Amino acid sequence: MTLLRRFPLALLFLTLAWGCEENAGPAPAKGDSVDRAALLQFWAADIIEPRYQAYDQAVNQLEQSAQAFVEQPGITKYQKLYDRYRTAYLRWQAVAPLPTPAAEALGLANYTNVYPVDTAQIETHIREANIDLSLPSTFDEQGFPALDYLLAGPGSPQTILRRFQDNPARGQYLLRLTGRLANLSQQVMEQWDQGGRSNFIAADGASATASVNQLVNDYIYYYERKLRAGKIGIPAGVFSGSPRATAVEAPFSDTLSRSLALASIEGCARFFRGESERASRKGPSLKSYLDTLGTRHQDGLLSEAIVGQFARARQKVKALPPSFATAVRSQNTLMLEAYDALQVNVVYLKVDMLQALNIRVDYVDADGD
Amino acid sequence: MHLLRKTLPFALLLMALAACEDENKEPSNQLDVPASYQFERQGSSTVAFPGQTTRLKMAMELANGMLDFSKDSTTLLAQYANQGPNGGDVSPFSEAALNNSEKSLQRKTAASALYFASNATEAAAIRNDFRGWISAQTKTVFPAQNQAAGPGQPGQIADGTSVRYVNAKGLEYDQMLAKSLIGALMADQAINNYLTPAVLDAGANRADNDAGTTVAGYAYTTMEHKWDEAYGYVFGLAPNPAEPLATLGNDDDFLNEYLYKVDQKPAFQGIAQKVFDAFKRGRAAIVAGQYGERDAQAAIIQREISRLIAIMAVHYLNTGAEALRNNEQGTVFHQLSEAMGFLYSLRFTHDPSNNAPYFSRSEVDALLAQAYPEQGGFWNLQASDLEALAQQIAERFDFDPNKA
Repeated sequence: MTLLRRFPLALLFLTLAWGCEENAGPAPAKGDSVDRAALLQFWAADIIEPRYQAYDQAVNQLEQSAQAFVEQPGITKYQKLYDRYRTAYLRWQAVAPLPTPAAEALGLANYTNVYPVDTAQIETHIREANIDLSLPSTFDEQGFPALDYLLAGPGSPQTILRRFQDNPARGQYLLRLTGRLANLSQQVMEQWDQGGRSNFIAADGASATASVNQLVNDYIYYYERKLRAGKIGIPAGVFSGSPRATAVEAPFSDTLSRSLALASIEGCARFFRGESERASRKGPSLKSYLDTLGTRHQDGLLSEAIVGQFARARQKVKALPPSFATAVRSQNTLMLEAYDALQVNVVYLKVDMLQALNIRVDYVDADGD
Repeated sequence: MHLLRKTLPFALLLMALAACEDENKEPSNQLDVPASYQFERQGSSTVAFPGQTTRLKMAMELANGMLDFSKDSTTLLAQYANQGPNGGDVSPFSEAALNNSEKSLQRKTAASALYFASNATEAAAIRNDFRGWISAQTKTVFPAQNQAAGPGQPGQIADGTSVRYVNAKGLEYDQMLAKSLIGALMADQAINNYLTPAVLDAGANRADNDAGTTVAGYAYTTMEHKWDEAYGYVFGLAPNPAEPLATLGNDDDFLNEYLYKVDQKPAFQGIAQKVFDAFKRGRAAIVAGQYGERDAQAAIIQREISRLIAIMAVHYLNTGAEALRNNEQGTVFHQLSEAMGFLYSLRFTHDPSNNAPYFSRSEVDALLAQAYPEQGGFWNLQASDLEALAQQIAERFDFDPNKA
């Protein structure tokens, strides 16, 4: 009986001990030895700016070839237009993980690449020609996914071409879409040139609103939601339980979705490693930041684990058919394997890396309602 | 085997604790509590709550209709009342069974025995609030479907890649209505009406229950049925109502969904099992005629459902504050619109220690006014003010606001 009487006391101690552990929290920041100013300088000059410039050039050329095509819709001009659409869409993949403050304020990503696209609404807009494309309800009626619908399907290139030849309003909607992409890009570039870049570099502190914290959060958000979930997980049915071929990126093009996903992984991996887009050189990066802190994962460096996992994810995605719609229909297990490979780096980046860098996740898990 | 290994030491511990305490107490009565929510009398099930299932379906359809731009206020108001403006019969629902039903959401809004039996004035004001949100949605937000929202301007606004439709002050009436129903209808009926002695013990209920006198044409006693009606407001749309935890969160957008969401939070894990077990044990106590035990289980449900409402209010205030710090206006509006409904619902919580709401009507009005200022509404807020509100609520319920 004596023992039993003491039992609640022991339980109380256990509870207290547990409570202590819980309150310990993350380790204090060790990041003071890292030169954030140099990091931001390099990111701005060697990664962000050249990527946005390349994208801006691509959407301008896209707009030009759309104008030429609409003037005289023929097969040669159509092929050139499709080619430039493809190039611009691929370059978007390098821009998307790194939104500038201006891009975020404009909602650039929402107007550029929300899918699956609402094809019925697009047909309505072509007929009525009066939709305000700045409205949030039109996110899934414009941008690259809408171009994919207009330029790639359904039907043979001749059929697609005939739709434009038979109905000039279709060409006008196409021009609105390409013009809008070029215009949004231009606005982002202008704001970057007019103070955006210097503000970005100047905010070199360690607070939640400083540039490193903001950009790293945006980058991980992109990796988790747009790359891992958007390109692979959602079409593969990871969250819903039922695979959906219509939810892939660029579902109307036969060979685009895998290229887009690979470009996206490449854009994320190169940023992590600090690969310059101006010359063949490396600069300060998340990788070197982690190495300066000596952050380890199991027997090695965390940075090496992340780099290795990017490579494994790329291998898994390369093993997929060029069209993810085909993959979802006939080889969804491979899609799930690619998802699993991508998921590993969500944990490394969002949990392990952010803890080491003492950065708090600033986005909430959507509760789906 | 795995479960047994996990629970056995715990059971031993409980027995040990009980052994310490029980020396001066009467031995607790043995209760035959089934593993699932199944009770029978002479081979027939005594569990029934069709009225609750019907109202949950009506509420789902009304909540969805609040975002259906083809609907007008007459239809939505008819769905709320299940009658016309002059009391006439209407058929506002897509399901014939709902149209043929005599049930009405409006009649059960703010209609509990505990809070509203002699408070018709406040009940009328609350029902007016619901009608007001429906009218305002159809008359101010629906016409602004294709325009961008701004301060003083209703319309649409982006929340990530989702679109939200808000009034001139940033509020989504559809969220306000759906989340306020959780308090004013589902919780109020369950914990302030059916689980209170005023209802359970009304008339000859105790004598009938003791004697096993069933309601004419049914297998249950009145008291058993009242208890089940409370259960129906939480689990009434479960495909298998005897084992509702298997599908928890998928069955309706009201208490069921949020019981699941709170249960998913590490700090509050186990709340769903706790509520389910209390429903089962209380029901078994009624069968056994142990009314003290019945009320003890009712108190657990009253406390936990009340906490659920508070936890969700705090959660959405916090996520709203976070989004505000990130300048994500549309996300702020959506989180706070959810928060407003749960704040409104606080008035229908039930502290079993004094049988009163954890927050009084006037306290709730003050919270609402702070979260949704008269001037400018959600366009005119500070993140720190929202966090202070969250703190205030969490303190009253004694939980950590950061874990909500």
